[in-house]
Amino acid sequence: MTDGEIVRLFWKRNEAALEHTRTKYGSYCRSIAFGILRNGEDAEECVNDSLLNAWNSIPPSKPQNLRTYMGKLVRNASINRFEHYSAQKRGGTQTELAISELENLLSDNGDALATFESEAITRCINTMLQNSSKEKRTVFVRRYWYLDSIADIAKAYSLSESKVTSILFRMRKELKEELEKEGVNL
Amino acid sequence: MNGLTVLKAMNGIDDRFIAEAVPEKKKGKLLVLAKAAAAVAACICLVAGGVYAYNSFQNSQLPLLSIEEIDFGGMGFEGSDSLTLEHSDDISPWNEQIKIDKLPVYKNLLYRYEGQEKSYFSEDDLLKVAQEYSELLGEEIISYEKFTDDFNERIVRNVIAQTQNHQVSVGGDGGMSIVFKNAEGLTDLSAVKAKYPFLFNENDVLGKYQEFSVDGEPLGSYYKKYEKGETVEQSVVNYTLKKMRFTHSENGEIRSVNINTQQRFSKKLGDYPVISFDEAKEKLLDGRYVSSVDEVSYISSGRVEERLIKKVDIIYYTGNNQQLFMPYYRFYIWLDLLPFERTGLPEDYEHYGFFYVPAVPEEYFVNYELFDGEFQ
Repeated sequence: MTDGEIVRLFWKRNEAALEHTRTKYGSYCRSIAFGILRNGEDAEECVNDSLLNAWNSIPPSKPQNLRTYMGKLVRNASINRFEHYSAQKRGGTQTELAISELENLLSDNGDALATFESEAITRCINTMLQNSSKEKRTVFVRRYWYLDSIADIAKAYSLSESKVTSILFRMRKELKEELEKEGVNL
Repeated sequence: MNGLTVLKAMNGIDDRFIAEAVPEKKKGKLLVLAKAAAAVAACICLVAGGVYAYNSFQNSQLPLLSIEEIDFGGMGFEGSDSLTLEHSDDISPWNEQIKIDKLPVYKNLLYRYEGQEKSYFSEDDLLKVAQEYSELLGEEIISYEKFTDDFNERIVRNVIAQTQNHQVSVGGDGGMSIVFKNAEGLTDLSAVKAKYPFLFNENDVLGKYQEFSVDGEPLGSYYKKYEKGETVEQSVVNYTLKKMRFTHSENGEIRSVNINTQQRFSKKLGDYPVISFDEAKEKLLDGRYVSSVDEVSYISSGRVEERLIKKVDIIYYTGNNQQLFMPYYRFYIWLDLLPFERTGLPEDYEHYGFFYVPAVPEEYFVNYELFDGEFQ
């Protein structure tokens, strides 16, 4: 079944849409959630939450790419859950490591900045990614969107870990410059 | 905790960037299974480097197939960048209104298994073909040169034989060519036919094409032909595997012919069912295709859309890096972002990228699940 047909089922309020979405993108969503939370039970709950969110948001949404749409929903749900748990839980997960790598990109102006500037940050990331080569872009997205480990990324693209680390370092630097250029980091 | 802020902001990045970086964890896991299946298949069939197994547990006796990575080779991408579709003769024997139930799949006997020390065909085998065509030309081979693999001198990639008036080249990929050293008077195909009747058949289907350089300069024309079969299915096979291309030189003479001879170097595995055009289109729009085109760079939306489909034909993907010659739906996709200057080109000239969808149904593959558009 194509994405378009599944989205049409959502629009018709046909609950088969949920089953088709789970069949087609369940494992993709689960791998994203697990990458962030490192807990199978939590990951499954986030997948269920994202299916519910999809049901509630389509319509009015009409995603052109259901896979990335579901990916965003489950990533969002997983990060929220991670944030909720992070005070009392685990250290050294890929999520925490990724956060620490991104830590110095913005000056610490607190939550107000986070809310106010979120869209501007996204715009800067998009600009930076758009101006990067496909290889660099996919490395960055694998690290900070999919929360893959540096070792996994290196393996996936037949690069050394130091090469991946170097690519990420330079791209974070480029992102920082883009943020500064747009006044986000001021 | 501004790192978390950035991490959250990442959620809003463009879908294209997320899609192009989809992890292949599932692929890796299944790859192991597929390799294991292929290994078992190889043992069962006692075929070195085998990629298929006799499907004894299904009703069909057709060997299971394996989707292969298409090595497009070189730089750039594969597509119709030299022709305007509207300005070319469409000689495809198939169109969307024709339903095809089955097509043959072939094992490429010239495939060089990685690590294997020799190709299936030796220098002598290739020379034999050169000899055969020399005789058809009514001449004898005066001398020949062999060209070996860059990494393994025992693998002969090409044999080039010289006769008095011709150069006959036979490649390890099943392709061959004849260069007419004396092309005087060969200004059109009828002149070639009169001089070289053995290259032609009564049922030949012919198309003439105009080539352009990337910046729009006309480069010359060429003819393409294949022998029409008794059935559409046979014609589809001939369309690729028995194709000839006659190329004009700059002074207007037809100086050479390229001949596809893959069927000589292949063994038929069986007639496989073929999915319908609608099913193929569904897979295409679902991202389940093989292509060397970078969608993000050359398509404005970053993905293949129905509005971008300009033409479809069915071809066999060939090359000595292919273990199997199997049919694919080849979609011509309009690349609406291609940043080329169009000076001198016809007004309606467009660039098209090729996107391939296997024509054989999923259940005949040991590894179709791997095929998610991520092979590029």
